[in-house]
Amino acid sequence: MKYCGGCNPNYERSGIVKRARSEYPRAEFTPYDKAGYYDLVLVICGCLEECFTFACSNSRHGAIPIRAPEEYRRLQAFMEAVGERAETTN
Amino acid sequence: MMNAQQYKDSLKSLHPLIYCSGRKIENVVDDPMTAPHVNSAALTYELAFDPEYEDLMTATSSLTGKKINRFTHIHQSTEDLVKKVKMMRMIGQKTGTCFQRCVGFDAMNASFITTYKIDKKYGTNYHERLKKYIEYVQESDIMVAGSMTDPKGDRSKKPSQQADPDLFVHIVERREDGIVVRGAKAHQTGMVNSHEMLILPTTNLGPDDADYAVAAAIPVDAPGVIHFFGRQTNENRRLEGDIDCGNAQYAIVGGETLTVLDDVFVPWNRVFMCGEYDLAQEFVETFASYHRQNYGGCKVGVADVIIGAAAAMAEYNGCHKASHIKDKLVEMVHLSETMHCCSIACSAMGHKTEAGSYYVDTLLANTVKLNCTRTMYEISRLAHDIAGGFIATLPYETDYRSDVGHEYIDKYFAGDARFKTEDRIRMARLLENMTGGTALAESMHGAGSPQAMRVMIQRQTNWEQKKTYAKKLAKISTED
Repeated sequence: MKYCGGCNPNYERSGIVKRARSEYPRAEFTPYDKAGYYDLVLVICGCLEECFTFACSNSRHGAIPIRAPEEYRRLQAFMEAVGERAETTN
Repeated sequence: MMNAQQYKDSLKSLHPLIYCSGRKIENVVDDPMTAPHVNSAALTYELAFDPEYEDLMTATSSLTGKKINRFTHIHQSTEDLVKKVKMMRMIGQKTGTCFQRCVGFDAMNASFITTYKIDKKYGTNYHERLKKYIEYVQESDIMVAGSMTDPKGDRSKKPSQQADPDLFVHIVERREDGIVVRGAKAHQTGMVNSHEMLILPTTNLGPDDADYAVAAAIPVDAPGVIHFFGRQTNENRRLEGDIDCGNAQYAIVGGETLTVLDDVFVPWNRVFMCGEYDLAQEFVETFASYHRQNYGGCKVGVADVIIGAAAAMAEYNGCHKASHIKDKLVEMVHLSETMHCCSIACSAMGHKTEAGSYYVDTLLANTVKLNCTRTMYEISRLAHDIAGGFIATLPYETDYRSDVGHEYIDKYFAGDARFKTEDRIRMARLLENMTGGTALAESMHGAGSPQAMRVMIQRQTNWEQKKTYAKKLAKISTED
């Protein structure tokens, strides 16, 4: 997970991670480190402005931006594509 | 970078001389009068380590290439200027008050630009000295109090014309190893919980004022430095409990001081201006414009809390569906976001300086702060209107906690029965403390009084160009 700066988020960004951890317990969600290598980087932005510029070259499947709670479906779609099923739904 | 605990521990190793109500404060971290201000500044350290906020809270040093706390950064782009404003709003939302660290941030950025200009004109080496100092600040992550405002004495007179020469900080001795300064700095935000102060001249100066043209970094506990902690509205409530404080964790504004410099020695490697009186105005304008930029950041974060408190109070009072309440809440948001617009604009319209750093649009930055001197009062007035008069008449927390008082106070200060009376009282006290007395005066005079902004706006406005626009449309010849 890579967060935007969080200047005035429209929703609780950590809620996205909490939900993801709950629904996909087999996946490991960790804070982004540019020295690391990841299957996917979730870029969690607090609003639609997406002012946060983030170049991701250390991820197998690139990055998915989530800018609002409803965009959580992007993570769900990715997980489904890689064969990971959600264990619970909110 | 230091984290919050390391910051607090580092303060304990300092020994500043601080007087507060007739006693010495020995430990600012634990003393109840200063602890909330320490907590507020500590958040600027804590958030730098939080993945949710590190993009705003940290930057890459232009001097070392290392990751640093943004409060020690020299702006390298308009994006940096915008991030500064966004960062300040975000922190203000969490503290509901001043977190103090912007003043030193602005003083360092103003010094970066001005020392370059002094060196260019006089062949001095202040800029290189300053870069080394900033590198030290970035590496150690110390908190620097930006220290500009002198007591000023008779406002109609220049420093050298004052009846008492010490009413502006001045150089009293030039030695082989440094200088000795005397005077005082007033309204010093965050001073007692900083590690060092960066003093700057406070006004434009003439040839007779050369000794007053001084900029230097001084440890807060250097020999000869004496701090007198400022008294705030309701400040003793923090000795009595937490409800009546409103914001017990972070208190109100920045814990200001009168800081006396009683013949304080400064080595040359910490001197960044020494006698170049004709560039004092540069220091003043540059620092002031950076600092005025902030008010659509931090104050908007504070306003976010006030607006939230007013909206919650409307619910507790059972009147949140009334159309006039909704109108007032919308008006508060409109005023607040207008301030934010100005700050974002003056940042986005910033430019690169000769020194290589980025500087705000000064006309727009001064507009931000002038708006704030009115807007925070109006936001506060609307919050009082919505909350109701009981925010000024509530009984003491001690009576609310007492055996005899609790039942009655809880019963008769109830609002909508779905909510606890204590929550209604807590929110009322938060509003009371955030919107009155010291907090309002800070919105008026922090970063300079309104007239200072008007003078800058007068200077920055291209009046002739505006007249030309009008004359063209009115078909009046502009060729004389």
